This record gives sequence, C-alpha cells and structure tokens, in this order.
Amino acid sequence: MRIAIFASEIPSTVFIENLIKGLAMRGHTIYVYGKYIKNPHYENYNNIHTVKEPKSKLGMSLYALKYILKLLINNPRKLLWLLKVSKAQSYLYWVYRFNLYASIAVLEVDIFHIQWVNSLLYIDSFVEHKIAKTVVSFRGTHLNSTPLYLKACREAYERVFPQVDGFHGVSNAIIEEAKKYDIALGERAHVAYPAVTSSTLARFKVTTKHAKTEFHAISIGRHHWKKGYNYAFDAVKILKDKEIPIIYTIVAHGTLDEQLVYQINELGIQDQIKITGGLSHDKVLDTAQNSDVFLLPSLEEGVANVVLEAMAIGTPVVSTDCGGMLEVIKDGVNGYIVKSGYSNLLAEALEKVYNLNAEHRKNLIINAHQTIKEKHTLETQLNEMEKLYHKVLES
Amino acid sequence: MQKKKTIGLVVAQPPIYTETFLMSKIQNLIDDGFEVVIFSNLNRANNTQAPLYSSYTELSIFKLMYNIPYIVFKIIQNFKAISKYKKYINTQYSSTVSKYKNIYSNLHILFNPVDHLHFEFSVLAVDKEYVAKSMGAKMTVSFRGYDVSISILKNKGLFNTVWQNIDGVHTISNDLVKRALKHGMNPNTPVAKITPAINLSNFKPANVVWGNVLHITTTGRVSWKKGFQYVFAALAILKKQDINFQYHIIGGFEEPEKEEFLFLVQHHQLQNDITFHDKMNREQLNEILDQTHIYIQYSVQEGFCNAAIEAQAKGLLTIVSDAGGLPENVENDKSGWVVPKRNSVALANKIVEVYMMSNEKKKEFSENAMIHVSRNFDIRKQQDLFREFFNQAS
Repeated sequence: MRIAIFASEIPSTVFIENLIKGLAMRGHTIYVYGKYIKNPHYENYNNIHTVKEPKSKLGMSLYALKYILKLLINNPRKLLWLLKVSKAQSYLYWVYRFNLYASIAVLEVDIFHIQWVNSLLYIDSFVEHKIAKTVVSFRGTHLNSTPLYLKACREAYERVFPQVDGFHGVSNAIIEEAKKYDIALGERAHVAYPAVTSSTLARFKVTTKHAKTEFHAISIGRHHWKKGYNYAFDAVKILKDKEIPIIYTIVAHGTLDEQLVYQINELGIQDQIKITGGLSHDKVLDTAQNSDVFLLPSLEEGVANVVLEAMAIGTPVVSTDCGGMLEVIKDGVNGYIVKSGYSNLLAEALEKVYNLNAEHRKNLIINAHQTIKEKHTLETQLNEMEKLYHKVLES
Repeated sequence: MQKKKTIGLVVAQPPIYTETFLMSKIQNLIDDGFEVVIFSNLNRANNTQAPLYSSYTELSIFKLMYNIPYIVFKIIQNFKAISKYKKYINTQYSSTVSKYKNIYSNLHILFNPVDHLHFEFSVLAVDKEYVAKSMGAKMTVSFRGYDVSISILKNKGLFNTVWQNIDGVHTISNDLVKRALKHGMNPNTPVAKITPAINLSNFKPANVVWGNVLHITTTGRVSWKKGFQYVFAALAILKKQDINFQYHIIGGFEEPEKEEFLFLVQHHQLQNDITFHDKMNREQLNEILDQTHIYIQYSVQEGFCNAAIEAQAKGLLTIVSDAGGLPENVENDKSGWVVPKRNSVALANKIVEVYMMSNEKKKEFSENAMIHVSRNFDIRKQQDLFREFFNQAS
C-alpha cells in the first residue's frame, strides 16, 4: 500500500512514529507530510519518504510554483481542478492547501491518513473532493472539548465526517463520542489501541512496596487542566489527613500554573508534592518502576500511553474512567478505576493500593502486564491499522 | 486656617463611573475635608473630582519632547525629594539603568508631594516602596485578596521592602493579614479591618416562592478561584438524588478557562441544568436573585466577596466555602452556612440539608442574614471607618 500520513510535525508523537516505522517494516510505502522540526531517523527505512511542508511565505510560494509547473506539463486539467478545490479566503491559506493537495495528488497514494481530526477544519475540501481516500484519527480533546467553544469546528465535523472513508479511534469510547457529529460513522470506524514497545514490556518485574515509611505515587504528563492534577492534590491532602505517608511526584515539562501553586500552599502539602521535568523516556520509566502506584487523575484522555507503560513494567495503576480507560482497566483486577472529577474517589483507590497485601498486589501487577501483552503490543496495533486501511480500500 | 491633608491614592487605573467603590471612596474623602490626588501608571479617563497624575512612561516620544521643559522645572522644584529617593533605592537596584528607569517611572508621584500615600493594592507598592518616605509622607496599603494570597506565592519576597516601609495596612479580612504575617509582614504594623459594604437601600428582600425546581445562583466570573469545578461535581451528586434544580452563574467567563468549565458541564451531564449569564446590571441581577432559593459562593480563593454580602442583604439562603474572608462574611449556622472548601460531597450535603429545611427555619435564616448585613456591612459605617483610617494614619 502507498500511505501518506499527514502529521502536523516531523517527527510526530510516539504513537505515529511507531505506526510509520511499523508499516514500513511490513513493506508499505509511507510518505510523511508535515513541518520538519528535527531528524525523525528514518535512515534505516528505504520506503519512508518525508514531504516537508515549507515554513516561510516565500518557501510556500516557490513550493506551489514547482507543483504548478509540474502539473502544467503533465496534467493541466488536474492543475485547474486542484487550484479550484484548494481555493480559500486568503492567498496564504490557498497556497497552503494547494501545496498539500497537489503533493498528495501527484504521489497517487492509496490512503491519506490525517492526524488529527481537527485538521479537517482547514483541509475539509480535500476530503469533500476526494483527492484521495482518507482515514482520520480521533483525538479526545478535538472531539469533546474544542467543538464546545468553537462553533466552526462543530460545523466542520458535521459537514465533513460523512465524507471520510475511515476513522481510527484509540478506543470504542472515542468512536461513540464522535457519533455526535455523524451518527452513521460506526461502520467506517475501527479501533486500534495504543501500544507499548517490546523493550518496555521487557522491563517488567513484579515490584513490591518500596518503603514502609513512604508511599510513592507518580503521574506523568504535561501541566494542563485536562490532566486533573488539582483533583490529585486534593486526594493527597485526604490521604495526608489519614496519616498515609504519601509522596506524589509529577513528571512534566514546564511550570505549575498559579492555581496549582496556590492549591499546594493552601492544602499545606508542600512536603508531599514533587515536581520534576526534563527526564529521558528511560529515566521516566525507571522512576515509574520505583513508585508504589501510578496515578492518572485526568479528566480527558484517549487511552493514556503512560498508563499502558506503567502496567507493562509492573507498577500498579489508579486511573480515572476518562476516555477509553475503562476498556483497559478492570477495577480491582488489573488496576483501580474511578469516576473522573472526584478527588475523594481517587483517594479511596490510592488507599486501596496502599493497603494491598503482597499477594493481591502481585496478582494485580501480573494481570496488568498480561492485559498489555494481549491487547497493546505494536504487533496488534499494526494489525488493526492494516485492517482499517484494507477496509477503506475495499469500500 | 489649617491646611487640608493631601491623600495620594495609587490605583491600577483611574476610576470610572462603573467602579462605584473607588468612586464613592474618593468622593467621601473629599467631602470629609481631605484633598485627594490620584496616581496611576495609566492615562485614562478619570471620572472623579480628584486630579489624576499618570506616569511619564505612558508618554509617546513626541509628547515627552514637548514636556521636557516642564519635567526639568519639576525636577528642580522637587530636587530634595528626588535625590533622597535616589539614595534610598541605591541598594535596591544594582544597575544604574534600572535605578534611573525606576526614578523616571515614579516621577509623577515625586512631583506632587502628598501627606499620605495609599496604595489600593499592595502589589502597586512594589518598586514604589521609598516614594512616600522621600517626600516625608505616610505610606499605607490595602489588602484585597489576589496580591496577598497569590502574587506572594508566585514571587517569594515580593513584598519584603513594602513591609519595611509601610506605616499601616487596610485589610478587608483578617485572613489576608494572617497571610501577610506568614510572609514576613512586621507584626507591629497597625492594621485596620474595613470590610466591603453595601448601600442597604439598594437591596430589597427577595420574595422567593418555593416550587418544584430549586433555583441556585452564583455571581462571579467563571474561573478556578470561584471553585466551580467543585460546585459542578456537587450538582452532579444532587442530580443523582433526583433533585430538580436550575443553576445560574452570572458574570461571564475568564476566557482561558472557558474550555475547561464547558467541558466540566458536559462531563457531569449538566447541560440542561446550568445557565451561564454575562455580566448584568443591577436590575437584571435582582430579577434573578429574587427567584433564587439558595445562593452559593464556593470559592477556593476569595478576598471577602461583595456578592455574598448582597445575597444575604436580600435574605437569600447563602452557602459559602471557608476560603479567604468568606467565614468572616457569613456567620456560620446563623446568617448562612460555611462549608469546608474543595469538598463537593460536603457542599452537596449542605445544599440538600438547606433544601429540606422547614419553611420556618428557612425564614429564620433569611431574616438573620438581613440583620447580619445591616449590622455589619452598612456602607455608612464603612465610610466612617475609612475617615478614621486616613485621619489616624496621616
């Protein structure tokens, strides 16, 4: 298959980079279109090609000129058509669309895979004029948050979704969410759960509680309201008041916003909270493995990769039921899961992990690892993505 | 005849008609025989009778050129105060450039000596700590909430030089003084607590009729400080108990936080139970308050909260959190209820408890609330206290 991946940046997220390399290893030809930020290290793959989106206005114009000349010689009718369908309110927006549409049209790919769904806001005409068969990946935030305050986004989804050939969701929950915009998309949608690498799985060990005098909880993720750290802090306060010796570490880039700084001070939990950032992925996994519990207090996620990694390496997990987490965690079996937005429930679940006896803790950890091995390997993920692509080609 | 005492008020922006508190405060001081001048970094319309002096940093290069002769004349006229000021700030600034920049940004005050320089927010006194001393004036600041609660956390030691130089503090709550003391304010600094107050004649008792739908209201911008995340979670609990309610929030959104709160409404499935209103005029607000059964102010950070005073003045059943000055505003179990902050379950329980109360009990609380406000938050009393404050400190 010839697949073009529309990523906003090159390299993109871990999920997409794994997908690109995985598909290439299976013999597909991959074109990655996006803003070139740094070397994505595709050197070992002859069948991955990057199509760099020009960054400057001049660069955009020259890039467009190149395609205009190319098409003028080879296929002037297509040129006229592309100029027409990419037409937009401003010159720059027009050029931007023309460059993308022309690049993909010339490549004659089988599938154009759009990461992420909110791109449909500005490349809607690509889908509507069927320049190529399209697959769109959902992202929770672009479905249940952005359209709430951006009417144009809601309208674009309602208009364009029925024209999309296939949808990829990281969970069934996210696909259900998307049905708000196109009730009939279910048949065109397919779940491919996020995955962890085999090297992460290989780190697995049945961890025991690390220290008697302290109970270490860890969260990993940027500082953003969706991550629900305010609920986690309230939970820490509840545990502190119960004299549970909790130490809560957040691994994240950037600085805490004033709301959280204020909250820590108000609750008097300065000694219980540690904020750390700038760690390598390896170091992050080490820190998670040395913690007694991994906490996901989020209000909104797709399926959090960090939770899958914690489960893979042997750290018990407490998670909210945001996004597709209910499809991963069975409460009390391979972790604990509570309704999001309630700190008292997070505190209760953390207390359960604190009080786990060795046997129960071991079972929980083994079950969690087993879940990942069964449903969240790169192999499974690639199989599901290929199924989706084939379904789209046959449609 | 005795010379009138001059009070310089340093404000963030010159007061306009809608800023009733500052407008009436200035007018009352003038009526009480003080001469009042306003200092602000901004040069904007000033609707008071007091003259406004704004910072020269606001001037465009052309206006500055035009004003140079005047500035030179004023420097000569106030040379003593300015050279004193330069001496005071010598140790504060390591670089000569920042020192002269600071002097330049404070010239508008140094050119207009007063007997008493009062900063309407303590954060306004930062980088102006020695201005009053240089002109031989008294220096006082007001504690209002954000500055002593939050600014102080973001920038440790922000007020250290302010604490060293103030002759007195006006605070709207004891809570803020506690915070300032924790962050290094001298415990011997004289403090006057003057809470916000209202004009009682503007608030007629609400004539609430209880029906099948429980009407709940909060006034205030939708932001994390107002604790809406906890209120929404509490309302979700109410909904589970099949309590039929309508919640009105009046004041509009803090834009960056809009996404979060709209998300939370959806998350708790409260789309049909919550109405967001923009800022309203007094008449429109009264219309909603007149139909309100329970008023909620479940903030996580609050200076004192005028809205809670107003709700009590109308005899509404008022539930507040114990954040900031709110416990000093509402008398727990008498004029309303004070619930521990950041606890949705406790808030939900309290709403249900109040909802289920007998009509006699509700009436008793409603009357207590009105009496509480007329005794403690009457604007006439506030005016007397401000007069006393400026007389004592000057």
